[in-house]
Amino acid sequence: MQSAVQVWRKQQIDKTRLSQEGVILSWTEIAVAPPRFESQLPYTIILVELATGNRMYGQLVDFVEKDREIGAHVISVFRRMGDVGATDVIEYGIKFKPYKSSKSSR
Amino acid sequence: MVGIVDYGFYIPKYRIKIAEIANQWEKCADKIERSLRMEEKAVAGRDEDMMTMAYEASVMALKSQSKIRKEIGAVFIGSETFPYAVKPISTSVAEWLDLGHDYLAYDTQFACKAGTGALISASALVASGDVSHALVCASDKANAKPKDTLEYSAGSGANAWLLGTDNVILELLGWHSYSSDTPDFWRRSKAEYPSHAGRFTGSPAYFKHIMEAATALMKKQQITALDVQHAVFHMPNGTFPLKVAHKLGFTREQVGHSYVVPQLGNSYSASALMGLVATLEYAKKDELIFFASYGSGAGSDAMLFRVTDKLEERRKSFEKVIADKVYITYGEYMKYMNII
Amino acid sequence: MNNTHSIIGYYSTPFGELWNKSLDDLILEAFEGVLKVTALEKEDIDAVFLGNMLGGVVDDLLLLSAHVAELTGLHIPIYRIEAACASGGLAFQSADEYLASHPESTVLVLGAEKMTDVGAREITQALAAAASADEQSVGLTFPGVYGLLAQIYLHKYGYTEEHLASISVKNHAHGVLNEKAHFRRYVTIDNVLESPYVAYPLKVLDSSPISDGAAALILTNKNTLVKTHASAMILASEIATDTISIAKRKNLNSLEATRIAAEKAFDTAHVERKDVQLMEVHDCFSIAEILALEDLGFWKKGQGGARAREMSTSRDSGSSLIVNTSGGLKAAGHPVGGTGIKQIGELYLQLTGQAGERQVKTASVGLAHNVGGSGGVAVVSILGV
Repeated sequence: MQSAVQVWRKQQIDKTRLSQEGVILSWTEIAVAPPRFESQLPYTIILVELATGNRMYGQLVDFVEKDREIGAHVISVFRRMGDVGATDVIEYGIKFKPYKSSKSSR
Repeated sequence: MVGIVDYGFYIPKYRIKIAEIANQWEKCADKIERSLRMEEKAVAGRDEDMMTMAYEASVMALKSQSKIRKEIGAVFIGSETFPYAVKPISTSVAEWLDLGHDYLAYDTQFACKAGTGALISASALVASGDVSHALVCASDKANAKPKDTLEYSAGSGANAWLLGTDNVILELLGWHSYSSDTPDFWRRSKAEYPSHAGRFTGSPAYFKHIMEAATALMKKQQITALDVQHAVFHMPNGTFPLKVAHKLGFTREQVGHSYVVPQLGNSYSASALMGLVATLEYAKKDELIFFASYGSGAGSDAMLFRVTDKLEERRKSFEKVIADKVYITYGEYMKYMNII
Repeated sequence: MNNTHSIIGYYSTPFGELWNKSLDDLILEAFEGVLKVTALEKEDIDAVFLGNMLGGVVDDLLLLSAHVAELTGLHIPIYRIEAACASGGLAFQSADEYLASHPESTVLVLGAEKMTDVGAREITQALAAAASADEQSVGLTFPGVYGLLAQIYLHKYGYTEEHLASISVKNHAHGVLNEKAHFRRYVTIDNVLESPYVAYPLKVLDSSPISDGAAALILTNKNTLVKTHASAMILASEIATDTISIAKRKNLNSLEATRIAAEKAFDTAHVERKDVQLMEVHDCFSIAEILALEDLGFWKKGQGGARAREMSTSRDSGSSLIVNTSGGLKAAGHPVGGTGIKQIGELYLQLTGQAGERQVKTASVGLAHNVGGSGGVAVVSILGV
């Protein structure tokens, strides 16, 4: 569980990773999760190589199965992360959704 | 000249049909669709809330504004579904947007007119020269008690408005706000869902306040309904906005593209402004837009805008974007709304 | 490493769901067990190395050195070593280093883990501590990390889940013969394919289980003890490290730490791969054994899937290289800290002709491969007789 300070510190880094395009290097679908992600089961985690050359992990959201494959294009979006208790600070962060660059009418 | 310099919106991908909800409660779907004049509404996903949507709308609004980001001197957010009772979302959104730290921020609630009230205040700060630019967001992941009539219309959406004096695309010519203490719809601080007073939400509430604000504004601006090309009203369902438009002398053509509620539902504080977003996709230079929001409790903000030649460069595609949708079941709706 | 470091005894508790044993109980049983089989007294021990991952994560117990001291009544140096799933292997490697700087010494190495006191959600949370902060913060579980690696491997080399399943089938068959194994039943390819997913494409039957257990070894450089006990020489024990996050690695289809540790071990041991007849490798998930055989240098990169499907390292294959006679992590069980010790112990039993029903003929060189997390630490040890 992230403390308020940890959430705040992580935000400083995540801020710089928004609206970035990337390519899926690998994906897996989680079927057994730790408590704070249980309500989101099943969910897909991808390893992304961003256009900047950096790599990061994130949940893939708003997708259909054919979007979820090695080599597919994604873009980072801003979402709520895991569940927190009713009195805890909410954690926001980066997830990814499928993205077709310029040519598509998406 | 003070007005809107840029704007953005966010509608989540998911839709639930009115019929899906009606069938869940064994009601006649046809009758409900006809009485509300609605087909479906937009629903934010489980990991989305008013903040994530306000953020995404702001990203669109600021996409072409990299030079003025750090010049934004005020950040206001209006909503009735803030995830915190105490902790500003306006500063969170500003932080994620990387707007620096030299700005005035506050969160505001006034049912469905939280955003427009903030828009008026922001325009005054800009007009006085106190700030050069202001960012105002309206965002809601509106919820309703299961089985209540509000369940059919409470939807999700957000929009963001950048105000300034340079490169104005939509000039604010004037405004009038009419307020009273009228308990038509409310939510107590520890309550999960809003409550409402049934038919009392009609003529003494929605209609009274919009009529008063609109009439006062038209008098101030010395215009009649015939003088404007577009009319945008708050949309709690599909019947009220058409009725109030008619009462004020506007035609269905004038309401035009703003009438998004049958497809998107009522995104509460973002609702009337979403009608404005839809209108801006088509509005032409020098056209006048008459606008009136309504917030329960109660009040109405009426505004008159004039489209400038700069809208062309900043116009956002709306219809095509909202056509990209996925239907969900009632069970998924319950999950996405964090009810189960 | 000095050729005169030898293993002179081994004891293991059963591995499985040991409801009435606490971590302390398991540690004590392994400690007393190994002293008994070697006919030594606790006063003969000069130092203890304890490999354990979850002490302090699942329960609120740290300072395990003092736990061991309390259980044994000793005041000698006791070191708790943590390297996630390589805790046991690293404890062994550390003990071997200790002997290099302490002549005429005898060291007891113990690996122990208590995992079944909490439910699946909690243990998933606890095991995720072997993954990086970035991996954990997005909800990537430990099986999820290996799931990502498996996807890359299957995609790059054109294999399917069936290829992975072959590893589980082989190891289960081996485990039937191990009286201490968590699972002593056969599974078929279909059983594996039909088991529920844990993290796609890895299923329950691709994954090592949650087990309790402890195992202990006695190491010595005292010639007198080596002569009077069944012994196996430690020819090498090397450790290499890599990033905690797989995202930060250059290569996503191999574990670099395994490769480097193996090179160092073969170099130190003056042994060649063709000399190795027996291996205990780290099959925390089926994909891990395939990667291990490639990264240790026995199979060419990319051939693993096909070789696994051939069952070419099964005891029934008649091949000259047999892998995981203990049943691997998959069938023998994976009480995290205990595994690295069990691996060495299995080789010791085989090399000294004490492996009973599991005995493989003519094995004189064995290799143990123990990995921490997704490859952040790898320990490769080579034993010989």
